[in-house]
Amino acid sequence: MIGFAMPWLFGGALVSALAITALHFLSVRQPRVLLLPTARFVPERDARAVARQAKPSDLLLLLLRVIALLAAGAALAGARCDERGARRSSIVVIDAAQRADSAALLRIASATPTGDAAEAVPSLVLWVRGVSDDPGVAIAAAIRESARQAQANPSLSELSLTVLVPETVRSRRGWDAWRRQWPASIRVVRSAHAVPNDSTASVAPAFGTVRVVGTATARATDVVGAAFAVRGARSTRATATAADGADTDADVVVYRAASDAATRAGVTVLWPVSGVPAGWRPAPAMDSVGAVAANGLALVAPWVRTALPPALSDSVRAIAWWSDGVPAAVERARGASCAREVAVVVAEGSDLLLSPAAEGLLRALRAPCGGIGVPAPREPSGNSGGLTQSAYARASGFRDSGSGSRTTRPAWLATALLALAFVALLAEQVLRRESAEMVTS
Amino acid sequence: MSADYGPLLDALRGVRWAARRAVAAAPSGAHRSRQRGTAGEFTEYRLYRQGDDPRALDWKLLARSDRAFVRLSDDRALLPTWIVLDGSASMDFPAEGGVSKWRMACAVAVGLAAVAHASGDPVGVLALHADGVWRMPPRTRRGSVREIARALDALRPGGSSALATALMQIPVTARCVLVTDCLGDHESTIKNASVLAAGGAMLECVHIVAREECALPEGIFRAQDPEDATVWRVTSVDIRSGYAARFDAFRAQVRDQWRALGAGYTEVTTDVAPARAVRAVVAGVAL
Repeated sequence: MIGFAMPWLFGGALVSALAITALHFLSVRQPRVLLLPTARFVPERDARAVARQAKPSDLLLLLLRVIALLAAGAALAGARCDERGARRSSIVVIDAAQRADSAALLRIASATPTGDAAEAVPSLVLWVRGVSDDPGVAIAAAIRESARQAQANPSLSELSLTVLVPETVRSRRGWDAWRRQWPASIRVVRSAHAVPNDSTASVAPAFGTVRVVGTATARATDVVGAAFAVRGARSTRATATAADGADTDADVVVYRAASDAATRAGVTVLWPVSGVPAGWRPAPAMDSVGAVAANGLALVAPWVRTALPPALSDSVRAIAWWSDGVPAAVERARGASCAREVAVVVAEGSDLLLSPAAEGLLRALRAPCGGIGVPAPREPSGNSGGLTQSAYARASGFRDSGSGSRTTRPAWLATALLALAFVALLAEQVLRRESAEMVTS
Repeated sequence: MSADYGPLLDALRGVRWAARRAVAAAPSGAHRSRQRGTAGEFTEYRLYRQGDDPRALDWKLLARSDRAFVRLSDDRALLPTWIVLDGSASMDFPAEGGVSKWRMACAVAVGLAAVAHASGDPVGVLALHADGVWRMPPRTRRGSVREIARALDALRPGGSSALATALMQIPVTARCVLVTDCLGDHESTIKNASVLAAGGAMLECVHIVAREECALPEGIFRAQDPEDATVWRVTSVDIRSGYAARFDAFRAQVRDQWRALGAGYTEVTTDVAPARAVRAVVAGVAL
């Protein structure tokens, strides 16, 4: 299929070609030649007369002229041969970490934004790293891809965006920052449940029972145990039997002393009262940090950082951060369970963890394995009756208005078309000269 | 000899072509000579004048009348005849259909040559054609007419007319017959012909006119002069009368010019039988 960056220019060439074709139906013909020795006695008079004729004259000349005009017009109008003609496109962004479930996820993505099965919209699946950390990267990647598609396909008019996110993400700051850049509604699909767009389903993580195992030598009430106790957890002292017994009825076990005992709990939290958790490095010097942030809440206090986190990887993820971005707590995956290590030293007798601002950190520690973070962003429902955005974004908003969009595609097409026009004009010149010579002779 | 000329020559058998005035040539022939001498055929008496040859006196008459008379008699002389044929491109008309001016000119030339040859006159031909000039000096021997006919059949008209130049090769003592359409270098030809006429040459102009030239064809054409590509006109119905008037005026002018030189002039159209045209030329009458 052929399209044009500037169709009006090609239209002009087409009109010119039609005008030339019309002119070929008017003939200013030379009469037949008659060799007459007494021609000098014929009175002189004007021999030209314009007349309409049923068939166009000089068909070859007409053909060459029309070819030259249309080729030059197409070259100047930015003809594009690689047009596919798709007016709509759908972009689906999925976390690259979920490639293993690609079949199921693609089934989700195959549904159209409007739910109309008859409306076939070609989808492009983008596997983007970090969507589970912050879905904002999905919008950024989608905008980048939209701009590419809009430049590549001038006939593209609308784009939709579907983002598959987990129930919880680590941060929504990127999403909130990038959300305005996408000029339409975004279909947010929970990858765990594959719920439809704008689902109102609860995103609160499932919390289990928490048991805090304090140190055997602690004289006073442990601040961590107190913080969890306020939120419904049980607290015990660290004994062999207590620890073993705790494994049987708690989903989350918080150890305040270093422990390498195997537990059957889903989540094991190692939060030493002091010192450096196993695998962490001591901080080179005592430095103060203003806050520790987790789950979207920041607990502001004159914290002292005593340990530096281990290297992060797929199996070691940060779940809480100091205000300067350094992880303050990490989660190590251990098959179906996980162990969380916290390097936040809370002074004995402090009530910091009792404040509402500590809820973020405590929720992060109590969350199921892998489910640490803030609830995934939501999009307003199309059925809510409120003022909602269109499901499709205009592709023109992603196009570069510079001169680059006015070139032909492929790039050599302009040269080829202009060369064709030149050859046609050259042939027309030669043909016209030969015709003139024939008439003269 | 070409079979085409057979009927023509048969039709011209017995035709004699007398000179329109006494010829200056000395060799004995069929034409009256300007020279008066002692030939056997008595013409007249003339009074003796001082300086006359006393041997020419008619002594018996002097004795009877006591008056001195000189006995005069006319000589008979040959008249070399040159036939100058215009073979320019304009003579090749009409190229298709009908008798072309060139073919008519050839027929007239052969007919005149046959008539002159039958009168005992030497006949020479100077033919201008597409490839140059074919020249045959005047001859009286048998087969000359056949040779002329064969040569003319082989020639092809073309190129531009150079009659004026060819005329300068003709001796003033000869009879010169121009067979032409008068459309080439006519003014120069008239100029050179006047020189010949002043020298005493007997000039005859056979003006060949194609019947197709007398009226413009129906329809619109780009009439092109075959000898000059720069001369072209467009024909149409409404200018036919104008053309005819101009052409008639031209022919009348040509006729007057030749007659002013004391030359014979005969206009021959291509639809006339060649034998009739030859007879008209020989007799000096219009067709």
